[in-house]
Amino acid sequence: MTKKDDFVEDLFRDLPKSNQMSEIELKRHEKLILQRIEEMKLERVKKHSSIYGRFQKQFQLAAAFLVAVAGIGFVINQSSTTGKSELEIAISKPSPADENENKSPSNNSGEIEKPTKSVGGSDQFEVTDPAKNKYLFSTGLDYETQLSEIKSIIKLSPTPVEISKIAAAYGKCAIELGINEQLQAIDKGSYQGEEVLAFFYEGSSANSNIWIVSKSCKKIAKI
Amino acid sequence: MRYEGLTEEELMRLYQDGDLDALGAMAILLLPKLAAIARARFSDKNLADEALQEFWIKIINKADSFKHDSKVSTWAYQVVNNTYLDLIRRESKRSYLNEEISLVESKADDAREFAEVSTNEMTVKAALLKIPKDQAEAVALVWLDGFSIEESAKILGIPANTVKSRISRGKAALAEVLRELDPRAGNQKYV
Repeated sequence: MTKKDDFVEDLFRDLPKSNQMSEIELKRHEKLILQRIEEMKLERVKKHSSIYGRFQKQFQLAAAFLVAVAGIGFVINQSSTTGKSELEIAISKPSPADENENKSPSNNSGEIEKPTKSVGGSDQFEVTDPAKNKYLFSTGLDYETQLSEIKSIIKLSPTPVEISKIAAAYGKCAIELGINEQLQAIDKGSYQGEEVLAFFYEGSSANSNIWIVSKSCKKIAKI
Repeated sequence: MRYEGLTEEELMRLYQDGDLDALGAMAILLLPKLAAIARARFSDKNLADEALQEFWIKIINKADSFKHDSKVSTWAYQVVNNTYLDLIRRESKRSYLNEEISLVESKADDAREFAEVSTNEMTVKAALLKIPKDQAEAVALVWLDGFSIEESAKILGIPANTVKSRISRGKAALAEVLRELDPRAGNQKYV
């Protein structure tokens, strides 16, 4: 820097200045500032509402997408489940117990019948699930002539059959016979040309005690 | 008043936490300082008024960028200095057009004199655009706004010696620029 450059400082310092701003002028700027702030508030509200609107739109799209995906998933799941069950049916084999029960000449579906009470007070046979009544049979065989065959079919319970787990009419009959604590199996067959119920109790497969009763639990014979 | 007694920094924090009214209060608090700069840097009252409005608009618009690593007034002066250089740039173009118009359309002595005075002022100020920005800021604060070296150092956030050095280098650079713009420079005063 040289002395001859000092003219620069003089030029700047001597530049004219405008008059000091009055209070009124400053107040006018204050008002302008406040107006600008109000505009910014409105802009902020608009921005927020547009963001909310956009979010809402996106949410709706996302929800629609999820519903569509869930629908497709359900359809796929249903079809795959059906295929699997078909496969299981195709490969399933009856268990030995099932085979045993299926031997009973009740009906083609493997189901056996159990008695139920009719209007006239006599017991009627109803179809029951064999899996639930493992020691209830319906051989239909004659207890007078086919006893050995019956004994080969009937499977005796190693422990007394619980009365609460068989039909009420059977339980009531077992109690009347006094064998409710020794009951091992029940079968439906015939005796002297009449449909009867056979209550197996307190014995083994080779040597069992059997009460032959009518449908209404009337004692017919003790074998 | 709701914000009475709060500093510029506290108002800035309130704004950055979402309070727009605090931003307004802070701009109003800075207004007298901004008005003093506008008055010092522009001889024309309308230009000074226009500059003041530009100053507070820029401060409001840039308030989000304030990092609280300096005083708000220091930051505001930096915003103002940048805005001032933009205004000079804009004004020098406008002044050039005015000169052209006045020479073609008006031969009146008053009009010519007015054009000459305003053109000379703008020529001097436009020279600021041709030197490094940090030097132009220091020159404007000390020579135009009338701040002392120490005050300018606080505003710019630099040591006083650095301000002196910038002004010294700025003076040499401006002398060079002004001689290029008008060879008479240095032999006579402009205004």
